[in-house]
Amino acid sequence: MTSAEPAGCGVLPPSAVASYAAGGLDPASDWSVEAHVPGCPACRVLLTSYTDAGRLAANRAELLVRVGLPEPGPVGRLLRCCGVPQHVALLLEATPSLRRSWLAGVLLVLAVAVGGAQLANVHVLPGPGMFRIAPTIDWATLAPFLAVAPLLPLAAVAAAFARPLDPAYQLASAAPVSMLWLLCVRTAATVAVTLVPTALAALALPGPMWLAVALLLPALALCGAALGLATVIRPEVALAAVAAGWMGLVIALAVTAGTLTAAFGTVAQLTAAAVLLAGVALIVARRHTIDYGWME
Amino acid sequence: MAGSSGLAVAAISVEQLSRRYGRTVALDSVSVQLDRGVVGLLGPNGAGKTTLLSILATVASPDSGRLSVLGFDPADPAQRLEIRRRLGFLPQDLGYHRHFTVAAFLDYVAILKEITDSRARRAEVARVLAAVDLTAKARARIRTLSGGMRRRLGLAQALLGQPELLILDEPVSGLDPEQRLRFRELLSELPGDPVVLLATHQVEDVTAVCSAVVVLLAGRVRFCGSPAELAGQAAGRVWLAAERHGGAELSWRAGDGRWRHIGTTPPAGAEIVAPTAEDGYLVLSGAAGRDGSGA
Repeated sequence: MTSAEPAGCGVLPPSAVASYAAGGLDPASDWSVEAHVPGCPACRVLLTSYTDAGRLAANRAELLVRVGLPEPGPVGRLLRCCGVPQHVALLLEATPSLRRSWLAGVLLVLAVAVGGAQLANVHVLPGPGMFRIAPTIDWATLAPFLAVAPLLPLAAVAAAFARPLDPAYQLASAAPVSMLWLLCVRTAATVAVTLVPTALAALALPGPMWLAVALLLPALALCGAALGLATVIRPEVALAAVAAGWMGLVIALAVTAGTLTAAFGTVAQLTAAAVLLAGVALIVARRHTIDYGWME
Repeated sequence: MAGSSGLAVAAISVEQLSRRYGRTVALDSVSVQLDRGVVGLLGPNGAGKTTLLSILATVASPDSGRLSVLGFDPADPAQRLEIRRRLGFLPQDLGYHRHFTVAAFLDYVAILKEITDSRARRAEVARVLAAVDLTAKARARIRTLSGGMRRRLGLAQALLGQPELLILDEPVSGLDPEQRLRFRELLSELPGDPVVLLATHQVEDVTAVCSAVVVLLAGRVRFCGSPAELAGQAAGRVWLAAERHGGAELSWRAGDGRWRHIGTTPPAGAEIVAPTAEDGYLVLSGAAGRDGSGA
């Protein structure tokens, strides 16, 4: 050491201070140095002499990055509680249909549909404060909910993959992360997050309890059909076609049978299962189109 | 034209590549071989630059033709993955999740690039932010950034992971002169010996940083060579005069008040001047022979 270089205090060896400045100490030694240096003027001067301006700038940049990274939202916290790795949770959190505003919108739609059905089922009797709940189910009052509920997961999947809602889709297409894997995890997360409140809302309806379960397969079939079709035609067109097809079926049933129960009966469940399997098969068979960022 | 042996040695090798969008031919039997270094891609709007870059970046597939990128064939899924692991891509119209902060956006892209360790990701994000001089904006929401800052952010995401292949579509659009110079500096400081493909309308940027230039016109390669060779395309066809010469195909008054002409036959006694790469590009693109409005 030359005479111009600051000496240590005699308590802490200068080599320990140098190692600390270079980030080469184990955590226990790090703590020892950090406990000692604030109260020792000689070591503070010594530490300054070892400080690398480039490293300081890099540390500052890393600190700013750390501050710039937002805390996980409710979905992110839920995912991490469920053991989803942090990087996967971050990928999922970027999905538009897993954001708080989207989930609030879903809950609002469900609340309106359920509230409407409940109110329509209440019959006001003559006289002040007199009302009664209809003893039998009026299926017509459930029609808005039954028409909309299976479309909610489809809308969530659309929001997860529609290019206008995923402005950075080109980056995902050019990245090494598997698009098929991304499709699977995002679809699973969005469908789950949308289906759970939908099924719970169905339980709150003035209808049979089995309705909550009967909704699931048609909803999944719509998602599977749309994603499968999206490997053949443009995703936006596929999603619109499937949604239009469902609404066409709903209107046809309402006009011909006067009720939508047939859309959730045994035949409908078997058909939905077949459609879901066909959609999954199409996705697997044509996964190369997904790898290129869907149909161009 | 590239032969099959050439596919193995060139960093990027393209043979008879074609791509159509409906009735529009975006690329028409394009063949070109590119070595390592910075390569400029010039051409007017609609020439097929973005289509070619998208295919090289593996976000689009060609209708026909052969392609080798860093020795890998993008048609094969496993080899396509290897290309993507070595790729940094800045699309022409890069969209942003506007609610993201700058740091969160880069963190997101770093995850897409398989940097799963959070500490490594933070260090890498900090590195690229410093490289594009956006460290102070790490906490800012993307929607609050200016157009030039967003372009720099786009460049930063392309630099994540120190890619061996950088494909940059219009990287300097919206950048002020100082930032354009910083961009040139950045390209010069890239570690290793990467392949950089740079599509731009700024011929002076190509002259300043590129070792090779490809001129694409109407989906076909019209020129492939050095910037000096591009300038050579206009040799003997550029002259200065005090008055505008009616026989010139393109004329404009320079800062010193004299007229600079580009044409096929300079008049007798004309002061022939050394052409620039821009002159060469104008001659090639035919802008000098159309309406004189430039390229």
